[in-house]
Amino acid sequence: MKVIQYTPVNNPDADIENIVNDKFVKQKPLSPFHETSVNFLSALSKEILEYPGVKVFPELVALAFWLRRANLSSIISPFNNKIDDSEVVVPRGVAFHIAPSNVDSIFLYSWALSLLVGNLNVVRVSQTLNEQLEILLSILRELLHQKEWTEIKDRNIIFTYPRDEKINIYLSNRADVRILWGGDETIKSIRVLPSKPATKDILFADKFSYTAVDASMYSSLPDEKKIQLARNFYNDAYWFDQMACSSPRFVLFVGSEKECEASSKAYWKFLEDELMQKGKPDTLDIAMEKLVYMYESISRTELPTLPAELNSNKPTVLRVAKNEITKFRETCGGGFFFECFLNNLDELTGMVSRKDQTLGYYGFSKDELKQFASKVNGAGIDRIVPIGQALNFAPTWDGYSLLNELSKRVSVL
Amino acid sequence: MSAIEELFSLPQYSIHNDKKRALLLEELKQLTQFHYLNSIPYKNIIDNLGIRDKNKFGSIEELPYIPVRLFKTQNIKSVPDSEVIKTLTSSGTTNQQVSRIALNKETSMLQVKALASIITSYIGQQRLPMIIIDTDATIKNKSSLSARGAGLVGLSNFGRDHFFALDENMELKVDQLLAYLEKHKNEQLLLFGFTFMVWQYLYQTMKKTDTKIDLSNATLIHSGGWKKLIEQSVSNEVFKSELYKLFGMKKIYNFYGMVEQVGSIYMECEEGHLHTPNFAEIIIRDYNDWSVLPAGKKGVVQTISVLPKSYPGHSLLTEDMGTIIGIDNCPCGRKGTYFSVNGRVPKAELRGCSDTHAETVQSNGRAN
Repeated sequence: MKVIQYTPVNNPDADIENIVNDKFVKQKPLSPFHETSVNFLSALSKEILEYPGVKVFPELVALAFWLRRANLSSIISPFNNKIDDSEVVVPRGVAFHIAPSNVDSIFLYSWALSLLVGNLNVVRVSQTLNEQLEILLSILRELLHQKEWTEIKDRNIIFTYPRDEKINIYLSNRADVRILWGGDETIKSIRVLPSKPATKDILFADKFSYTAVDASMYSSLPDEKKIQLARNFYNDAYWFDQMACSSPRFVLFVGSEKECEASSKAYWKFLEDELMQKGKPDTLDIAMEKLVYMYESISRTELPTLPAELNSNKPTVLRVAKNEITKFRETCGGGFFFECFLNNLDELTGMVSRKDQTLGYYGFSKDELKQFASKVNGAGIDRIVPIGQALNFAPTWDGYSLLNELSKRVSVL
Repeated sequence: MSAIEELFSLPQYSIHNDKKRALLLEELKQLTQFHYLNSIPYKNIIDNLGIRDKNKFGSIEELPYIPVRLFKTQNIKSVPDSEVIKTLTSSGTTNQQVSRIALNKETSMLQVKALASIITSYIGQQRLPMIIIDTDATIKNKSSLSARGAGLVGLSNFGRDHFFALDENMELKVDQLLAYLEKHKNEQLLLFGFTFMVWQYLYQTMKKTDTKIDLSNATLIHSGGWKKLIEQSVSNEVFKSELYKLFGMKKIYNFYGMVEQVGSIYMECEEGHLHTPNFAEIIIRDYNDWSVLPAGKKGVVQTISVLPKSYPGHSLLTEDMGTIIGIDNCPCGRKGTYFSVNGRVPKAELRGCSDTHAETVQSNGRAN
C-alpha cells in the first residue's frame, strides 16, 4: 500500500505498512506537555517566521504566532489548572489525521495540540500541495533532521495517498483517535470503515459562517475605526479565498432599516478601499465564478434582491430578504457575500442551522451575545468572535474542547 | 416581413452591420419579452437585475445575458414539457454536470434552416457524398442527443451516401474508407468530424500507415474545441497544413458553436476568421466589470442568436475567450462581425476545508 511520504523524510515510494508499523504504533508516547514537545513547536514557530518571504502568506505568519511559547503556555496553563486533584492526564495513543485541502494551516493546529498532549501522529494531507504547505513541510523536514528532535521525528509522520479504502482501514485499525476534517462526504466515507472498538472520532464537518454588525454602533464609528474594521474583515473573509469553514459568507446588519442601509453602504465602501489597497483584483476565473454565482442566485428567488455589482476590484454583495436567508447557504468564495437587514439579533435565532460555525461581530456586548447563544440553544453556531478573529484557531473548535478530546484521564482515588 | 424572416431571406453574410443589428434587435426584444413571460428563472433574473422595460433596449449590447453554465445547474426552458420534441445535452467529459437544452418544433426547424443556409453558402446546394469521422453509435438515440450527436445529425443533412469512418472502438475502418473513396472517385466529397477526432483517428492513423489517400476533392468541416490539440501543440494553422500535406486537402473549415445555440454556428473563412451569420452576433466583454470591449481587445465571448424560442438562450455569456477582428470588411468578402476564439476561461480552483473528497473527481477530470 504505497503512499507519498513528506516527513520526516521525502519518500515518493513509501509503504504504509513499513512506516506505520508495529514499532511505530507500540513506541512510548511522550508525556503530555513534555518539554521537548513545547520546545519543538516553538522552534517551528521561529523557523516559519524566519522563512524568506513568509510575509506574503499571512496565514503562515498567524500559525507561527500561535505556535510561540507564550501562546502555547496560555493554552496549556488553563487546561492544567482545571485538572482535578484525583485525575492524571495521559495521551490517547495513535492519532490519525485527515487534513482538508487548501486550508492547510488549519490541520496543523489540531496536529500541534495532539502532539502537545503526547499522541503519536499520522497525518494524511491533500494530494495537491499548494505553496504554503510545501513551505511548511520543508521546514518540518529540516527541523526533524536535527538530532535534538529525534523523539518528535519518531512519533510524527506526514504523507499523502489517493483516496484508498484499504489504507484508511489500515490506519483506522491502528488509531486511538481519528481527527477528520470534512467535507461531509469524506467524513461519512471514513466513519463507516472499521476501526478499533474504542477509537474516538473528532469530526470537523462542512460549516457556514456569518458576520453580524450592529448598525447604529457602526455608524457612529470614526472613519479610522471603520478602516481598521474593514482590514479585520478582509482577513476573515479573503484568506483562503473565503473558502474556510470560518470565512464569513453572510453579513447581517442589525438595526432600523435606515441605519442598516447607511451602515451597509459604508461597510462595503471601506472594504472596497481595503481591496484597492491590497491591489489584488479578481482574476478572470474568479470573476467568472462570481458572475455565474450571482446569476445562479438571482434566478432562484422571486423576491426582489439588490443585484450585486460585478467588478474585479470590489466585493460582490447580494442583498436578500430576511425570510430568504435560509435559501442562501453557500457562496462561490473569492469575495462573494450575501447581506441582510435584521431588526434585532433575536430574528437570527430561528434561522440558525447545525452547520453554522462562526458568528463574527461588531457592536454587540458579550452579555447580549451570551443571551443570544442561550436562545439558539445548540441549534447551531460554535463560536462567536469579534470581526478579525474568525480564522483564529482556538483550542475549543467546532464545539470540541480539543485538549480534552485528544487526551484522556486516569482517575486515582 | 418580420425581422427574423428578413434575416433568413437575405443571402447569408450579405447584410451590412447597421441593418443586421437593427433587425436582430427587433427580434431579440420580442424574444426577451417572450422568455420573460414563460421562464420563471429567467423572469427572476430580469426582475432582480432591475430591468423594468423588457421591450426598450437601445442596442444589442444593452440586452441582458445569462451565463451559459445556468443550463447545467437548472432546467431552464420557456415551453411546456408537452411541446419539447428533443433535449440536447453537452458532452460533459470533464465535468459530471451537462447542459440540458429543450427544443420545441419551431426552434428545431429554425436550427435546421439556419445551419442549411450557412453550410450551403460554403459547399453549394448539391448533396455530396459524405464521410463522417465518427461512429454511428453516437446518433443511435435521436430523442436525447449529445452535442456530438446533434452536430452529426445536423450536418449529415448536407450529404448523401453517408459513411461512418470509425467503428465503435474509434478505430478507422481503413479498408472500407478506401473502397468508399474508390466508389466516389472524381466526385466532390464532404467530410465532417470533431477536430480532435479528425486529428487523432483519421490523420494520425493514416500517417502511420503506408497507404496514401487523396482527399484533394473534399471539403472538411470540423468543430469541437482545440483544448486537446493545443496540448499537443497543434494550432489551426498546423492542423490545416498537415492535412494538406498528407491528403492534399485544401478546403478546411473550422466552426465555433455550442449546444446551447445549435444552428447558430460561426464558420471559419478562407482567411481563417470566424464569421457571424445573419441571425447571430458576437460581443466581447471585459471580465473586470463586464463592459463591452472594442475590436482588437480580448475578452469573454457573449453570443447572440435569434434561434432559441424554447429556452432563454438568445443572449449567452460563454466561458470562452475571444477577440473581434473587424466588421463588414473581411477580405473574404463576407459581411458582419468576424472574430477569433482564444481558449477557455480557466476553471477557478477555490477549495475549502470541505473539499478533501473532491480530489478524486478533480484528478479524474484532469486525466481526460
